[in-house]
Amino acid sequence: MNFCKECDEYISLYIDELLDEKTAEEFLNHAEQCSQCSAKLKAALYFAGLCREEEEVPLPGDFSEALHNRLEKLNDNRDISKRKHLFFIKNQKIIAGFSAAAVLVISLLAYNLLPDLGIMKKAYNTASTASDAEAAQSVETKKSEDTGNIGNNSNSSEVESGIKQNKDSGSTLMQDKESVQQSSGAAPDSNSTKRAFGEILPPEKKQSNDEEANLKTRKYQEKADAGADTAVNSSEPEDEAGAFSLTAGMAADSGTHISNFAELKVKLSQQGKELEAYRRLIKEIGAVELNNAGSNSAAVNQIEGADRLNNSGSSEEKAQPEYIDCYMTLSQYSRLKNQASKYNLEFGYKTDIIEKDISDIYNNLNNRKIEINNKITEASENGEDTSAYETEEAGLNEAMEKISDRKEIVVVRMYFGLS
Amino acid sequence: MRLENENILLTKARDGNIQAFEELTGSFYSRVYNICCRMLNNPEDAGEQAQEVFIKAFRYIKAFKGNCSVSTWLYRIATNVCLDYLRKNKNRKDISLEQNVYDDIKVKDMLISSSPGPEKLAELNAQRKAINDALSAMGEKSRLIIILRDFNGFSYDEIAEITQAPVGTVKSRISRARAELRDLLCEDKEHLFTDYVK
Repeated sequence: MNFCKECDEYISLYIDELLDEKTAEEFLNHAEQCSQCSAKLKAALYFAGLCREEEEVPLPGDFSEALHNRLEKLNDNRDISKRKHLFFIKNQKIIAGFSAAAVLVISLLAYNLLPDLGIMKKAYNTASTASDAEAAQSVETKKSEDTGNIGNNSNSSEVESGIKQNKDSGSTLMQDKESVQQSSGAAPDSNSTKRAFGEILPPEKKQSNDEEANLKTRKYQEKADAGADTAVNSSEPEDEAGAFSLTAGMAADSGTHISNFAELKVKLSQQGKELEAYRRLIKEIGAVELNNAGSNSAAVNQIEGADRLNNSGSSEEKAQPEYIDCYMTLSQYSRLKNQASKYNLEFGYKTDIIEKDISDIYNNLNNRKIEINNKITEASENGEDTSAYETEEAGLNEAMEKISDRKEIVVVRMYFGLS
Repeated sequence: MRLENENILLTKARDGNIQAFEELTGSFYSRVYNICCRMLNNPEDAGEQAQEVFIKAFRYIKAFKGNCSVSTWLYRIATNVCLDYLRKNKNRKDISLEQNVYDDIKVKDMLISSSPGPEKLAELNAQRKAINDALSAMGEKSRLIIILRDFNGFSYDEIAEITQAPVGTVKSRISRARAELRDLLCEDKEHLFTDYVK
């Protein structure tokens, strides 16, 4: 044991009587021999003794009373705090309830209001603009396919009016969206919902949405067409492939017939043989007279008599017609002009080839065809010969087909007059 | 019996019964006050802080788990309150206990006299003042350990519980503190303590 080195520890333990008897004896023996350790031991014992002898400092007289008062105050504050805490908790629940209700109401309002806001309309207008462009493009495409049709104005105007009407009824389109989807059996359109909230769709989704919008646009275009008998029946299932492809040729089913049309005139001489000469010329070039069905069959002339319908402006067969309509190809039309002199005919031009609505001519042919059909039926029932009627019917069908086709066909109206 | 009584008082005190609390802790008022006096070396501050000790005890009595005695718990609060106060008020000058407790006799380089009487009393006063001054010059923890061991007579185990330190640490702290006190007293005041020298 190195008492000198650990003198302070041994002294402290010795003072507090924590050394065992043997260690204590050895330490004391060392202290008697070591002056430093001895001095330290003595000093430590003395000072420790002084500290222990120190009397307690008396408690201030008002200590207990002052403390009591403070404790009372503390207790009172505790009660107030408790009451405040409970009050706050109660209010907190009420406030929390109101807050939750307010959040719920605002959420519901936002959900209901958002579709009516400009977000949805804006999204629709964007889609309809794209669909309008596509519809217009399809119209142009169809127009280019019909090489004989120059300026298919009336049909395209109908399409454009349909587009315009579609633009103006934007909200109507969206409201009918579901009916369209239901008729097509399409799944609920989540893309439209997303559009309602102004979400930017990826290109592929946008494209599909545009196609859908185009589909709807076509449908409403057709609905907007006046007298569109063959317009899309909404009960019919939609065929996205092309059941509703918009073509100008649909005009054929709509009752309007556009054709190349030319008006010529021939001055009648005193002999009045120009009509006969013109008919010989028509026959030579292969054109077909339209308004005088009797020119194809003498039997028909005999049967029909004076009640034969024509659009010559004259109800009597033998009277000089004001004009005669024929249809011919463009090449035949050229030959008509070239061969006129051969028959001593001088053609004057009222109009050059134009596109004109010849629905009246077509409808007259159609009416005549219906009459012939009725006569065929009647003759068959009576056991009479129907070959003449059938021949005329074939001629009428051919003429109507040509007009419907109207490719390289010109309807020529030849006027016969004194001046 | 005493323990049962203590438990009953403790339960009541937890419920906010001031009387029960005072009955439970009243016997420790003086000791707590003395610890504060020795630590702070200022009677006024010692009084305020001693009350603060019991206020805190009353406030947090529900947190007292009973794993030590009430006294140990109170002394622990007291030492912590004093240490916190000393750290916050490091620059504050200590007012010597001698001015309020002892006679207003300042003894400096007094000759040592073996005769009892007033002179002896003055000598003792001088010595006490010297010890208090030395304590004030010591570190907070050394001061505390001296106060707990030598002034209040707490055992090593009690000191370990109060300071929440191992007993071995307590032993080493006591030895170092005593050595420090000795050095401080023997430096300039050796002449005041010539009895042991003799």
